[in-house]
Amino acid sequence: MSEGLYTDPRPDQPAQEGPWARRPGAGWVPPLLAALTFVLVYVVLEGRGANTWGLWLVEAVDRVQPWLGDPDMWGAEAIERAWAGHSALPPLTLLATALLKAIWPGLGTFQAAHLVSAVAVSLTVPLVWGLGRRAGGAPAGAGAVLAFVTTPRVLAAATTAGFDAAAIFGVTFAIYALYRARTSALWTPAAAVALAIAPLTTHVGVLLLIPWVLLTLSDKGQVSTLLIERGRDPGAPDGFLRAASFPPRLLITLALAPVVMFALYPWLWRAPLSRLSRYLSHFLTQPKPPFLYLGDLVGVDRLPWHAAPLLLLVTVPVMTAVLGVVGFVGEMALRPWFATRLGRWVQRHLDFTPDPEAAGPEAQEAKRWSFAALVSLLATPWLAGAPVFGVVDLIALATPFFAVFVGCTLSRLLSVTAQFVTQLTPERDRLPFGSRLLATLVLASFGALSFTPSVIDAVTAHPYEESYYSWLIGGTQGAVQQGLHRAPYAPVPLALAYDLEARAVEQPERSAALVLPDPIAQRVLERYRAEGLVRALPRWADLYTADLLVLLHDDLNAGYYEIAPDFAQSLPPERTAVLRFEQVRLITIGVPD
Amino acid sequence: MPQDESPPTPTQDELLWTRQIHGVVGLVLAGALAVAALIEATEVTPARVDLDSARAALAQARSFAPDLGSDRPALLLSRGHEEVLWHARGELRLQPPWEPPRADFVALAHEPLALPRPDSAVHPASPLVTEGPWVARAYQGPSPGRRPGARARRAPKVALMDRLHTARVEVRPKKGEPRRCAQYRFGRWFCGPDPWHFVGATEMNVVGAPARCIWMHPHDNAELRLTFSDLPRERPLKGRITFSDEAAATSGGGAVTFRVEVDSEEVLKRVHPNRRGWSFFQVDLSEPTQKAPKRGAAKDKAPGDTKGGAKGASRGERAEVTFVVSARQTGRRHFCVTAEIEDRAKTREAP
Repeated sequence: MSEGLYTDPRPDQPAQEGPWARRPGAGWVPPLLAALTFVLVYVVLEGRGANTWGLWLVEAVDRVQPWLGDPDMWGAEAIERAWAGHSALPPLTLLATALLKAIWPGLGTFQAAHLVSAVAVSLTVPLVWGLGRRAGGAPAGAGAVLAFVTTPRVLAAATTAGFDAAAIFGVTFAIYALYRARTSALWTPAAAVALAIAPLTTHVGVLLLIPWVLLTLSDKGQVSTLLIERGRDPGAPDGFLRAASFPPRLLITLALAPVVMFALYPWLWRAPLSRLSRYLSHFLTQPKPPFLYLGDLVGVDRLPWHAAPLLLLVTVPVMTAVLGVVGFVGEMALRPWFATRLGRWVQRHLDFTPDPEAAGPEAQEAKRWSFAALVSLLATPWLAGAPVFGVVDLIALATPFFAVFVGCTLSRLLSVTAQFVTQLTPERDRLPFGSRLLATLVLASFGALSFTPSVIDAVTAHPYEESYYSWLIGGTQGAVQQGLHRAPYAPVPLALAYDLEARAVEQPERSAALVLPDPIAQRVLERYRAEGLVRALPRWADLYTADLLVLLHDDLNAGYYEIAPDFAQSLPPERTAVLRFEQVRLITIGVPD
Repeated sequence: MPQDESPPTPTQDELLWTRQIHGVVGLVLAGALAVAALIEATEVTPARVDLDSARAALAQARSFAPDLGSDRPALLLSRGHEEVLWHARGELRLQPPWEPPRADFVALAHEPLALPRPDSAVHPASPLVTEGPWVARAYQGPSPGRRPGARARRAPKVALMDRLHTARVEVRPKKGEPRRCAQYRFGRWFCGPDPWHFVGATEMNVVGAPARCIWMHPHDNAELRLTFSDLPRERPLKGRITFSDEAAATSGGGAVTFRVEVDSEEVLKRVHPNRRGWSFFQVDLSEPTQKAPKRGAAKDKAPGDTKGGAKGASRGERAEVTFVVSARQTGRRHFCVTAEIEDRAKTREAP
C-alpha cells in the first residue's frame, strides 16, 4: 500500500526515516539560517528609522541605560526612576537595547534598537525552521523560513527601531518551546523561560496560555498520561514522553515561568501582582489606535473578525498567501476529510506524500500547534479591536505560523514534482545519476521559482514595507482604492530626513513645517538629528511662513482630505518633490513662492 | 471477523492515470508559478495623469445637470488614482472613505463601481459619462419636496466656505494703514503675526459636536475683514457665528463684535457674548431700499444686535459682502463663522 496525500502512519507504527530526514551535520542548519538572516536584515537592508512606538522605545532606553550603570541599581528608588515612567512598555526590548548600548558605548539608540530587532528576527528563523521541519520535513522547514524572511511585515519589524521583532521572537519561542517540551526534558526549563519571555515582549504573550491549555487538554497522550498513568502511554504517538513523565514537567514549567518573569522585570519586584496587573491591562484602558479598513474608520468599534486574515493575506507576497492557504486548508481540513469514505476514494488518486517522517504523529502535532497559534494570534486583532495592541503589530506575530503551512505545501509540491520527474518509481535512490541530477535540478528550480516573486517583492518593498500590498488586492494602489491605509504605523522615513538635511545644508536659513501637524513625526526627526543620523534639519516654522512644506499622506487624518486639494491648489507640481511607492504618494515636499 | 478497511492496491491502469494527473498538475503549477514570477518581476509603468480627460468627463457630467450649479464640488472617488488631484490645481476635492458624499456634487472615478450608488442620500442627476480612463456622473442630494430622480427646480446653496480662495482678507488697525493678508495656503489666508491669525476653514467643537466653519480670530486693536465679491444678489445670506467650546469656557472672556457689510454699507451688527452655542443671522441681499430693515433681514435678531436688516443693494446683479470681526479682549477668542446663500423660495416659506 502506498501512503496517500496527508496520510498518517498508524499510531502503533514507528516513524520512518524519510529521504529528507536528519542528516549528519544538519545541526548547523539553524544557526546558519540565523546568521544569513542577520546579514540580510542588518548588513544588506539598512535601518528605516522609527515610528511613534520606536520613539517611545528610544526615549525609554534613555532612562533605562543609566540605571544599568547605577551603583545603586538594585535600590527601589533607582528602579522606580528607571522603569516607572514607561512601565507599560514591553520591558525586555528596552532592557536588551539598553544592555547593547551599555556594552557598545559608541552605538546610537536607534542603531542599538535596530540591532536588537535584527537579532530577534534572526533568532526567530531557527524556530520557524524547526517547526517547519517537524511539520513537513526539511523542504517544509526551508519553505517556511523563505516565506518568513520574504514577508515584508517581518522585514519591516527587523529593520525598524520598535517592539515588533522582539515580540515575534517571544511568541514564536514560547510556542516552539512548549511544543518541544511535550517530548523533551531538556526543553522543559526552556519552555518555562519562553513562557516568561513572551509576555515581557508583548502583552498578548499572556494569551498563549489559552492555546497551550487547549492543546494540552486535547492531546490524547498527555491527558491520558496525566490522568491515568505516569509514564509512557501505549497509544501515544511515537517518541512521546521519551525521557520524563509529563506531570512533573508541567509543574516545573508552571512554577518556573512566573519566577523568571518577575526576575526579568525589575519594576515588578515591588508589589508584583498589582504591578503585573497594571502592566498587562494598561493598554486595555487606552484608546486604541484608529485603523482604516476597507473604507471604514475603525476607531471605537471592533475590527471585524475577517480583518486580520485578510490583512495577512494581502500583505504577504502572493505565492506565500496561496501556498499558505492551501497548506492551512489541506493540512487542517482536507486531511481529516480523507479519513471519510469519499475522502479515501479521492485519496487513492492523490497518493503522494512528501516524507514519511513528515506525515507522522510528531508532524501532526507540529501542524496542530502552528494551527492553534495562528488562529489565536489572528483572533487577537478582533479581540483588541485593532491590528496593533500594546505597541506591537499583531498581524506580524502570526506570520511565523502561517509560514509553517507555506512550508508544508511547498514540501508536498516538491513531492509531486519529484514523482513526476522520476515517473513514480518507488526505487528513487536507485535511479541513474543523470535522472537523479535532473530530478534535483528540477526540484531546486521549482523551489527557487516558487519564491522568486516573493524575494522580488521583499526587496522592492524596502524601505517602505508598511506600504506593501500584493497584487491580490491590486498592489498599494489597489489597496488605497479599496480603502486601506497606504502606510499604516510606518516609521518616519530616513529618506525624508536625508532630503531635509540636504536642503538645510544647502540653505541653512530655510524653515520647514509639517502641513498636517504631527508632533511625533517632528520629534522623531529631531531625534534623528540628536543621534547623528542627519547633520542638520531646517528650523521648524508655522505653516504660513515656512519655506518648505512637508505633507505626510495620512489616510487616517480627516484633515488630509481637506488639505490635499488646497495643497494642490497652492503648490503646482513643478514646485514639489514626491516620494512614492508603487505610484502612490507617501510624502510630498513643497517649496512655496 | 473484523473487516480489513485498508484501501485496495491500485491497478496498473489506475497508476498510469495517476501519473498523468500528476503530470498535468505539475505542469499547471509550474506554469502558474512562472506567470506569477513574470508578473512580479515586471516593472509597472507609472500611469499617465490624464487630466484633460478628467476635466472633459466632469464638464460633460455637469452639462447634463444644469440645475446642479457650477460651483458644486467635483469629488475624486478613486483614491488609488489620486495623482490626478495633484495636477488639478484645486479643481478636485477628496472625500474621506468613511464618509459617503452627500448633497450635490460631481463624482469622478476610474471605474463605475467606485461611484456612489443611488440611495436616500444621493441620486444621479446625469447619465454616466465615460472619457478616456475616467467615468463621471453628477449627483444631487435630498431636499424637501424633491422626489428621488426628479429634476431639481430650485437653485442650490452657495457655501461661502467653498469660495474662500476667491475672498479678500484684510486687517484694518485702528491706527495705521490697512494690510492685506495675501498669503493663501491650504484653504487659509494667513495674516500673522501669530499662527492663529488666519482666516480659513477649520473644525472645532461647538456645543460638544465638531463643526466646520471659517476661523476669524480677532486681532488686537484692529478689524479683521473678510470680503466675498460677485455673490448672487437675488438670494438672502444666512449664517451662524460662534465661539469654540474651549473659548467659551474661558472665564472672563470678552465679547466679539461681528458686522456684515453689503457693498461697503453696514447691514448687521452683532455683539457675540462669551457663551457656548451658535447665534444665527440673515441678510437679504436683494432688497433695494437703503434704510429700513425688511423681510428676511435679521429676522432672528439676537439680544446683542444693535443694528439689523439689509440695506439697499440695487447696485448691480452681484453683491459684495464683508464680514468684520473685532474685539477688545482678543485672548482665546476662537471665533468662527459659517454662511451660505439660500434661495428665495425656501426663505419665504420658512416660519
